[in-house]
Amino acid sequence: MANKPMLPELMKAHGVSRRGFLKYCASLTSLMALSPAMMPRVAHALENAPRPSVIWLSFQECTGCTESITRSHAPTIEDLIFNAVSLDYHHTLQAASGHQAEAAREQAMKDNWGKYVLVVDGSIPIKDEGFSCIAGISNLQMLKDTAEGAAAIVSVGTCAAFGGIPHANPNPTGAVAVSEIIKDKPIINVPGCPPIPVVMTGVLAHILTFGIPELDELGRPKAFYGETIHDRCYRRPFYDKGMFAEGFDDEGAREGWCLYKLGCKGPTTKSVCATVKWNNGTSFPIEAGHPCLGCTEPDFWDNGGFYKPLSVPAGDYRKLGLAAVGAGAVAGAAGAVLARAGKSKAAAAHENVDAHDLEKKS
Amino acid sequence: MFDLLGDVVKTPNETFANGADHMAEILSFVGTGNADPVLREIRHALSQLLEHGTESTIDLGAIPFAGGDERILNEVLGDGEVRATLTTMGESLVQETSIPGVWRVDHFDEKGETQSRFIEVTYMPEILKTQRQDAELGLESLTERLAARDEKNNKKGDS
Amino acid sequence: MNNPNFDLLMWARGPGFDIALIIFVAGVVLRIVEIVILGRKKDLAPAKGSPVGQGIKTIFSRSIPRKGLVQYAPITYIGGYIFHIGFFVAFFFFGAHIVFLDELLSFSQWWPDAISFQWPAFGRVIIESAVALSVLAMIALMYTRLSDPVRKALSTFDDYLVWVLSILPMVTGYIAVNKLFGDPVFMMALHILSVELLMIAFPFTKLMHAFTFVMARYYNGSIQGRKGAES
Repeated sequence: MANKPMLPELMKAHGVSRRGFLKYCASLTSLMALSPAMMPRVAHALENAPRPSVIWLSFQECTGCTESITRSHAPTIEDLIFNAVSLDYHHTLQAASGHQAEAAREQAMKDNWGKYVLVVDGSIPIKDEGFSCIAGISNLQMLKDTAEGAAAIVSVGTCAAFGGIPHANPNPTGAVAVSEIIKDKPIINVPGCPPIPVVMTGVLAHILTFGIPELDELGRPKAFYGETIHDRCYRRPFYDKGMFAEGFDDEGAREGWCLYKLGCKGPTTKSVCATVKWNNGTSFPIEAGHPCLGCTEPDFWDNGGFYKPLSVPAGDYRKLGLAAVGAGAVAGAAGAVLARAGKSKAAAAHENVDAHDLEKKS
Repeated sequence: MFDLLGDVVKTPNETFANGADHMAEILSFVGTGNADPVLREIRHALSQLLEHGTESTIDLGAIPFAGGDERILNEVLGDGEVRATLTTMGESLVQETSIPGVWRVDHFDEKGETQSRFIEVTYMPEILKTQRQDAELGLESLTERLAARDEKNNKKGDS
Repeated sequence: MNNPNFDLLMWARGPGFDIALIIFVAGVVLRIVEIVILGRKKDLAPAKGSPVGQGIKTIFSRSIPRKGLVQYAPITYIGGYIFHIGFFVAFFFFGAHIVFLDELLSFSQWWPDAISFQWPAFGRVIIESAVALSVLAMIALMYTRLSDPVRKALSTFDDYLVWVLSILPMVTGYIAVNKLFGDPVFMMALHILSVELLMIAFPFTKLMHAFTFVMARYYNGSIQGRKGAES
C-alpha cells in the first residue's frame, strides 16, 4: 500500500504500450463525457497524478451499485480504473473480514490522511444506530470517523445520495443520505438505482484527473445529470406528434411510441441513460419498452407510482370527488329550498324589488 | 430427442445465436435521425482539414446513435484502402473509409465489448503512429536481442 | 435529501389537487342544483309556439352571433372564439391531458372491464399554435376591455381575476413543456397549481358560464318559444 506506482508505469508493468495507454485515454475521455479534444489533457493528468487511496463503505444497500460497477473479469475500463486507484477497503470485494479488515481501513486512513477518496453506497439509518453495523461499528459512526480525513466523498447510488428505497414512505429505519450527516466535506452525488457503470467510473476518473467535477443544485455532476431523459429520448418525436402507447402490448407499444401514458418519468428525470445507455451502449429501459422510473431523483419511490403518468393526480381523489358531488347536491338543494321559502315570504309580504336590489350581491 | 422434433425446436445454442443475429438485424433499423447531421459535420471537418490543416475527432458515443444510424453511416462512408488492427488491451480497428481523410477508430476490450467509437478527420490518426516512448523501449529491446545473437555467434565461433 | 421542486410537484398532484377537486365539484354541483330546484315561475297562459323545441334549438343557434354584431364588435367576437376554441383544443387534445381526463372520469375502478375512453391526441405544433393564438386573443380582449370606457366602467374584480386565472395555465403550460426558463419540474408544478387555482375560483365566478350557458340559452329560447317569438 505504501508503494503506489503511477498509472503509466503500472501499464508498462503489465506490458501495455504507450499506444495502449492512448487507447485507454481515448475511451476514458469519451466515458467522462468530455470532448475528444480534451484527450491530451486527460493523458497528461493521468501521467502525473499519484494514485489516490479509495475507501469504499457499503451501508444500508442492496449491493446493486457494487454489482453494477464490477461487471466483468477481463480488464475493461472499470477494471483499469480500479487499477488506477488503490482500493484499500471494500468489504464486499475484499478478501479480509472482521477486525483485520477494519484495521486495514484505519491504516489506509492514517497513511493518506486528508487525501483519500471516500466512496459510499447505501443509506445510513439513524432511528436506531444498531439497525446496520459492520464489525460492531454502526454505519453512522463509521461514516463520521472515515469522513474526517477524506478529501472528497462520492455518494454512489440513490440510497447514499438521497436516501433511496430505505428512505421511502414510511422510512422505518430513519434512513438518510450521506449529505444529511456530513456537512463539512465536498460531496459528489452519483444517483441511480443503480447508476450506469460508466457514469460511476467516469466520475471517479474525473476526480482522478481533474478533481471534483461541476455539480448541480442536488450535488450531481452536470456532465452526467445535466439533461433530462425526455430531452434526449429517441422516442421524443412520437411525444411531439401525440402518438402514445396505451398498454404494454398494444400497437403503439409494438411500434415503439412514447411511453408517457404508461407513467414514464422521463420529463422530470435528469440522467444520461438515453445517450450513454446500459451494458456498453446496448439499450436502456425506454428502448426496451418500459417507462422510466426516475431513479436518479430523490424520493422516486414515492412519486405517485411508476405507472401513473405525471399529469395524473397522485392521491386518492375519486372518493373525495364523489363525496363532493353528494355534499354539493345536498347543499344546493338546501340552498334552493331556503331561497324559495324566502321568495314566497317576500311575495306574501308584498315586498318590492328595485334596481338597487338587483345590484346587490347576495 | 431434439432431433425428433427437428426444425420445430431449436437447441438452446442455435436459438441464442439466431436470436442475437435477429436482434442485431432489428436494431440496425432503429435510427435516431442523427446520422445525417453527423455526416454533414464530417463534411465540414474535411473541408477544414484541407483548408487549414485542422484535425477533428467526433465521439459517436456522445450523442444518441443507434444501429440504424450506424448503417446509414456505413452506407455513405463505405470502406477504403487502409484497414489496421491494433492488438493492445483488446482490439482496436482503425480504418480509412472510402472518403480519404475520414477514418473510423473503434476500440474494443478483451471480451470484444465496444469501449468507444470515433470518427477522425485527419491525414493520419495519432494512434497509428509509433509513440516515441515505445520506440525508445524498442531500441533497448533490439539492442538486447542483437547482443544475445552476438553472444550465440561468438559461442559458436569459439567451439 | 429532497428535491424541493419535485416535492412541490407532488403536493400539487396530491393534496393540492384533492382540495381543488372538492371545492370545484361541490361548488359546481351546488350551484347547478340550486338553479334547477329554484326553477321558474309557472306561466299559466297557453303557449303560442313550442317552448321545449325552441329552447333546445337556441342552445345551439346562439353559438352563431346575430347579424351585424361581429362588425359591431369584431375583437370581442372573433377574439372570444379564438380564445375558447384554442383553450378547448389545448386542454382536450394534448396527450398528457387526455390521460389525465381518462384517469379522472373512467369508471374502471368499480367496473374493471369498463372501457377507458381515450381519443387521439394532436401533435405539439397544433397544440402550441392553439395556445399562442389563444393567449394573443386574451390580450386583445383585455385591451378592448380597458380601452373602452363603458366596458371599463362595467368591469368588476371578477372579470380581471378570471382573466388572470385563465391565461396562467396556458402560459405556464407552454413554458413547462418547452422548458423556456426556470427549473422544468418547478414550472410543471406551477402549471398544475395554476389549474388548481382556476378550479377553486370556478364556482364563485363567472366561469360557471361553462355549465350554466346551456341552461341560460334554454331558458331564453323556451321563453321566446312560448311567446311564439324569435330567439
